[in-house]
Amino acid sequence: MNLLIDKYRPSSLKEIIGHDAQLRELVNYVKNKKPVIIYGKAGNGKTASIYALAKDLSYEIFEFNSSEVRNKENVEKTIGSSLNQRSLFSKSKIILIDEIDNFSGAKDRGGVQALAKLITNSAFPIVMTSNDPYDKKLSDLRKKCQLINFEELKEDDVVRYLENLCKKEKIKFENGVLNELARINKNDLRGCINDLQILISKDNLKLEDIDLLGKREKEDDILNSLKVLFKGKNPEEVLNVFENVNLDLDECFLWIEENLPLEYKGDKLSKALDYLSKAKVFDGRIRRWQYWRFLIYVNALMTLGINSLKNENDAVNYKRSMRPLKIWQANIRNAKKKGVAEKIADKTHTSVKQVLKNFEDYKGFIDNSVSEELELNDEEVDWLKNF
Amino acid sequence: MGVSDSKIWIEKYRPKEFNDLKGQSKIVKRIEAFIKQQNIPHLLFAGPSGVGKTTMALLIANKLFKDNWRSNFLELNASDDRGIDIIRNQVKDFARTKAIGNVPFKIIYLDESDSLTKEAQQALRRTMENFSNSCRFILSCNYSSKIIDPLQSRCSVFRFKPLEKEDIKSIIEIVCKEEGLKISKDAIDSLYDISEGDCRKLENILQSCAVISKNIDNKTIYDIVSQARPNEIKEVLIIALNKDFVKARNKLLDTMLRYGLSGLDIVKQIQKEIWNLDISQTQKVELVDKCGEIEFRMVEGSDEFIQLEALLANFSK
Repeated sequence: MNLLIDKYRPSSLKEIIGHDAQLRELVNYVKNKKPVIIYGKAGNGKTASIYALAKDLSYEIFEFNSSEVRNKENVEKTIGSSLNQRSLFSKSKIILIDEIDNFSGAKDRGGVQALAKLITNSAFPIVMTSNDPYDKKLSDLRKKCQLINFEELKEDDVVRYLENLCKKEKIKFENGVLNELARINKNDLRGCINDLQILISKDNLKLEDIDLLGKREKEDDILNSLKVLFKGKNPEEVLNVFENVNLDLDECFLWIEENLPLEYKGDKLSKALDYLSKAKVFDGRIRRWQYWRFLIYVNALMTLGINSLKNENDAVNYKRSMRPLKIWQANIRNAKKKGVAEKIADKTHTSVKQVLKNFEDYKGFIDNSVSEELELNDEEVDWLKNF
Repeated sequence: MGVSDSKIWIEKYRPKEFNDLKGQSKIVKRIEAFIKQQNIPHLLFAGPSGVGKTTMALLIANKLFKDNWRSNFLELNASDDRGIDIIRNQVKDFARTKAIGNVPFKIIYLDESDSLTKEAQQALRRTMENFSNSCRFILSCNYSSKIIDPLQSRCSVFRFKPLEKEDIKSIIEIVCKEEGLKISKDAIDSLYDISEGDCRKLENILQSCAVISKNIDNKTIYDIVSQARPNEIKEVLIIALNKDFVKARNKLLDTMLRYGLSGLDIVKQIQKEIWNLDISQTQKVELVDKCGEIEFRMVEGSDEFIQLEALLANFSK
């Protein structure tokens, strides 16, 4: 079976979504044999555009990607020789050097410099792709190239493309599914298409199917880690428990914090929270001094510290922390409150901070005539009534 | 006392004459002397909130500039916009233009100056010097210790005190007479206790009471105040003492978010409440000690809520 991603590989620049101005630049540079670096996030069409362009111009592509060793000798040997070789049947060619950020410092020593030397006297157009051309190691190369920025695709564009694809493949879907797909992939079109491949077996795509994709995987990860954290007997394993979890440190903290009281009670709970609190002190010091070695202490306290209190209870059902959700909801509520407070402050020679702090003192007397004087809108008046 | 047409009492009853400003008679005398000379130095007003700092500044502008006061007086709240930008932009723009009308200088009133960052205060110091012939500054703050020395030394410092009971009483009488309210004697005492000499708080509570009844007694006041400041922190502590840590924690988070309180606000309240709990003195002292440690960690570290949880767990031990 043909994979969707291959089946729908664009065969002409017309099929590329977004980047209209950038594509015109690209065509121009390639025709004039100027070396180009296309940069931007993964999956927004960099490599696809180059292949599509080659088809449009009926050029061949000579690709040199990170699967090969790209040190000085190899770059000179592979690229150097192809630079001047006429192509079979004398078709012209584009030399594509993919993912130039992936030149490894140690293994591909001298590769970038060699490349920078070679590209100036090439008989063929050279196009490179990169996620971050401003990396220091690329500076020699960058100076000799034209840069084209492929910006992140717009959600609307991605969704429209996916709708089209689903129509052709006769995939049915619920409202909003494709938007969600675009969102969880951060508008990475390749990611979206690969996800569709997994979901294609469902006859009607639902929102909960999307949940199965990646998020569940993350959750499994953390649940297993928590089991090791609270029950693990091998200190080394415990110490490294968060190493392979696909969550950032703050999220790990939230998971531990939420579930600590389910595992420990009384004195143990207080000791465990004390470790967590100390870990957060080091965390704060890292932020303040940018002294990252403190991370060792953060990790030791939040893993072995907490594990050292373990008991023989059965494992409990670990829960996700509701704190971020609650904070988010409160922020929405507080935005209204702040709006009203700003209006009060404006009329009473007071600071917003001062009004917010004593908001309860004010709300008791905000009747119709007062809200008129404060110029509150209907929405704010309603909100106050229900406060 | 002059009465403005605002419906908000703290504005309606804001003094229009120096004589109406209660409780700061010594400061008023000195300020009036400045007004007579038609000149003032830079001023620094230090003191708690609701004791007349802003009113004093407004009065000065009024008396010096008469009808031109609005165009020659800039009021800024440093706590709402505390960066160096307000000094560099708003303050400078206002200070560098000429005063309007027949007045010798302009006045910039910088409320809550103690929340200005150190860099902003440094920038202010230069601005004060550069524009001192065209512009006077009045800074207000709660704690003069948070104002850098070079600024303090450029200002005449006035320390405002919380209003005395007699002052509070006379304000209540004026308001009640004007609004046609009746108030019982013990209600006046309670208002004094609750307001802690803060006239803004006093008038806000009084206005809230008046919405409920024209006859204000002790009960009206406590209904308003307990509704306004339900003692949720104490409830949280009691739940924690009964060893229901999860419930206590969730309630604490809800309270914090509902009132938009910071972790430090909460620690301060917990520390106050500990003394009112039904536990032994040894326990109280231990818990207050923990409070201090947690407050320190909060200042030093990150994630205030985890710090609060660590404190709360000590109540459930």
